[in-house]
Amino acid sequence: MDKIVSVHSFRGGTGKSNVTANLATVIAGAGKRVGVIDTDIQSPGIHVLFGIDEENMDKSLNDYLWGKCAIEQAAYDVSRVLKTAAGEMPSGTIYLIPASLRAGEIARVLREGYDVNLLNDGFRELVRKLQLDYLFIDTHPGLNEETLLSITISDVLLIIMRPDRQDYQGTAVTVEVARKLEVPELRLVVNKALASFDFKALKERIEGTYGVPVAGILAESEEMIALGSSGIFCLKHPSHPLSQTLRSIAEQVMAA
Amino acid sequence: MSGLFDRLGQELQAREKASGLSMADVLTLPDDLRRLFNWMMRQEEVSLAEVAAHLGQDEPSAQDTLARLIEQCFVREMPAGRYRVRLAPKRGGQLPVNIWQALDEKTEKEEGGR
Ligand SMILES: Nc1ncnc2c1ncn2[C@@H]1O[C@H](COP(=O)(O)OP(=O)(O)OP(=O)(O)O)[C@@H](O)[C@H]1O
Ligand SMILES: [Mg+2]
Repeated sequence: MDKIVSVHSFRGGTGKSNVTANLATVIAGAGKRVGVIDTDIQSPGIHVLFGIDEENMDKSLNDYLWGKCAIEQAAYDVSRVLKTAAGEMPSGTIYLIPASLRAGEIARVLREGYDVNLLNDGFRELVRKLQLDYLFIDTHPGLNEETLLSITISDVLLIIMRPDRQDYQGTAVTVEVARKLEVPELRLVVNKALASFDFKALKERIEGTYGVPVAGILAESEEMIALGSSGIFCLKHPSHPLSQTLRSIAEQVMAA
Repeated sequence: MSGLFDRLGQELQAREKASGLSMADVLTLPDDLRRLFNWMMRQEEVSLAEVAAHLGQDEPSAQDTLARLIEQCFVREMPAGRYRVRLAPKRGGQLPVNIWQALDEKTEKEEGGR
């Protein structure tokens, strides 16, 4: 059975795109067919992690929303990122559906809006046409129509938060919204925690506050900062503790 | 289930005729309607029998409920007696005029260079 997984945070810069790309890669590495769609139309970003840029991007989600192409025509097979250091290719497949990077095309969506029904249909069509086992939706921070839509149709919602007072409050809002929209499986992921924190106590405290399971706590990592979104962390640093936590979160997503 | 019907009536009176359902609206709807829409969104498409079962109504009552939702443009009827939530288009145009002008110029350049 296929699963739609949304990755969201109330505030920006929490690590949504990096977490999404890593989870998608881990799951594809387990032999699954995975799609990743960038619904952050006003500030797209996740394509960078998969080595796609404006030069090698032809069709995008924007073209689909304007009726210029079918959604699967805006899907890029980026499975090459899965190739291991030893040169082996796992059997899984990963597709990226990017949002446009052209200022004019971003502006057009912001100015003219679009048919939200198309976005909704697009998610389902992707799953069907590309025969996906998992569709990951990377979102714009905060609550807007796209986010609410993706939360509503998700089987699993991962809410990313930093251990920061502003994130705590924003996460409370998002959790309340997710409950109203009756998301079947809701999990929190804490990112950028200082390594000196007591992770076990932090997990208990956060679970107590929100009544939502914490799927994992990711430490702030120098290697991640150095990577600077230029690649997939789990593949570059497979034995790093962060990669272990990311793999454990991926397992929980698959089991949810 | 007249409770749902009455509340729906009140909701509809209180709102302008919609161009579709916005997900932000769903958050403000009474619980039973909100649950109906959440469920319909996740099912993608539903039949009259499924709606009746979900609402715990008989089919004629469920048909009435659907007719009101269709009239309000919250639901659309699909071929073969299926029903779907009809989402409101996302409106654009929330930037100051001078920013649009700057973007227009940029767009013309981009399109010229294509
Ligand atoms: N655990 C971590 N340790 C250190 N840096 C991190 C960590 N996770 C993410 N980052 C860095 O934080 C920045 C933001 O990450 P990312 O783009 O994934 O966040 P985002 O939530 O998608 O942001 P936006 O809201 O802008 O879309 C990036 O520079 C990334 O390298
Ligand atoms: Mg992002």
